[in-house]
Amino acid sequence: VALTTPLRTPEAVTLAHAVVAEVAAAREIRVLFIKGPSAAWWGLREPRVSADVDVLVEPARLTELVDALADVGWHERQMPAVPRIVPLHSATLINASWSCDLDVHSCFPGIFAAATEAFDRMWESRAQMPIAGVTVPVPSRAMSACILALHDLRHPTSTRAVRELPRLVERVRDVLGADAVDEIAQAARLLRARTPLAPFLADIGVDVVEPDLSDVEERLWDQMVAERTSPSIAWLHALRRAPWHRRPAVLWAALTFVNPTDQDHGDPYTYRRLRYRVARLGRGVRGVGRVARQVRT
Amino acid sequence: VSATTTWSRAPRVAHVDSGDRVVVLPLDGLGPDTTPVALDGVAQIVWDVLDRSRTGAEIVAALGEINPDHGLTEADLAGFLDDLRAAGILVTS
Repeated sequence: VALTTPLRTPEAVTLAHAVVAEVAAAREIRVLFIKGPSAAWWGLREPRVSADVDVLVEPARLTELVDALADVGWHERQMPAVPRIVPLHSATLINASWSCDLDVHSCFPGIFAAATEAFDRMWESRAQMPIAGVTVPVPSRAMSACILALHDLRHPTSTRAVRELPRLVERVRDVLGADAVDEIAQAARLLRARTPLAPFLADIGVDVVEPDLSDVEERLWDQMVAERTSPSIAWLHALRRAPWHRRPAVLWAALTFVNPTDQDHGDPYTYRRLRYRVARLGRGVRGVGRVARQVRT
Repeated sequence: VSATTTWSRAPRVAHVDSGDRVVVLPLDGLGPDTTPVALDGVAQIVWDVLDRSRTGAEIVAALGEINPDHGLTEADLAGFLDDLRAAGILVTS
């Protein structure tokens, strides 16, 4: 009888929910599991294999939760410094023995209510999802739908978003029905996410008559979407913010940046990597003109 | 296997059934060295029949009903149950 064996990804994702819930509960840290299995549990999409576990933590206790998870073997993935339009409020944790990541967020892009208020709203309407023989807290169906839609709307050109957002619309409108639509409209209002969610809300039959964001916030959302579509825009913002003497270094970092999660280019000494860097340089130079217009506007 | 000892799943374990095996993780005393345990074959059947508390005799009987050719001696079964108890996956009363 074998007692130990490598974990498969679906097993790791399922059990990791229990691990995070256990660690958080032991320290009375409030967490909510988002996307992944909870989306299928709510009937917002078909079950599918996730590669990671996404968890929202009450904002003031992000570091505490990350430290607590380190105590049970989950450590932050080291990433190179990348400029961002909005500072990163999350951590990705990995464990060599587990074939999934833990993404711990203290806020979610597209939700413009103050992070603590947004979390409290989601916590008030939470449900308990059974998984791995335990139950874990998840946002309400409506809040979960808003988060899924925001995720897709922030990556509008990704293959996944192009495929899944229409399916989410279809499920909400045609399967879940009018009550669900009303709940989602209410959730979007509470989270101050109606403007980012406007295309989704329109598709499920909710009119966003008055925008709920200031011009600055609306522009910020546009930039967050652009950042995902064209990462060069974040580097340009970093370039503009840097003092003159630092700009050559920032420019060099921008043109030669290689995402360490891109497995095809992981070996620093291969010819393939050299070709990738040259191609990256070319893309960076060509992207400057295109995204500079977005920055100016 | 002691016929009178009652065996149960520990109250605080996480588990996931992949069809060909069950993977179980004890949550009590969770630490960096806590290891998930995979149970397949006869081990999976033992886990399944312990969806309620059973005495050793009842486990042996249930195993015989589900898979008469399981090939597990009572000594093997006793050792296996003890291993799972030591791993924090089963408890006795």
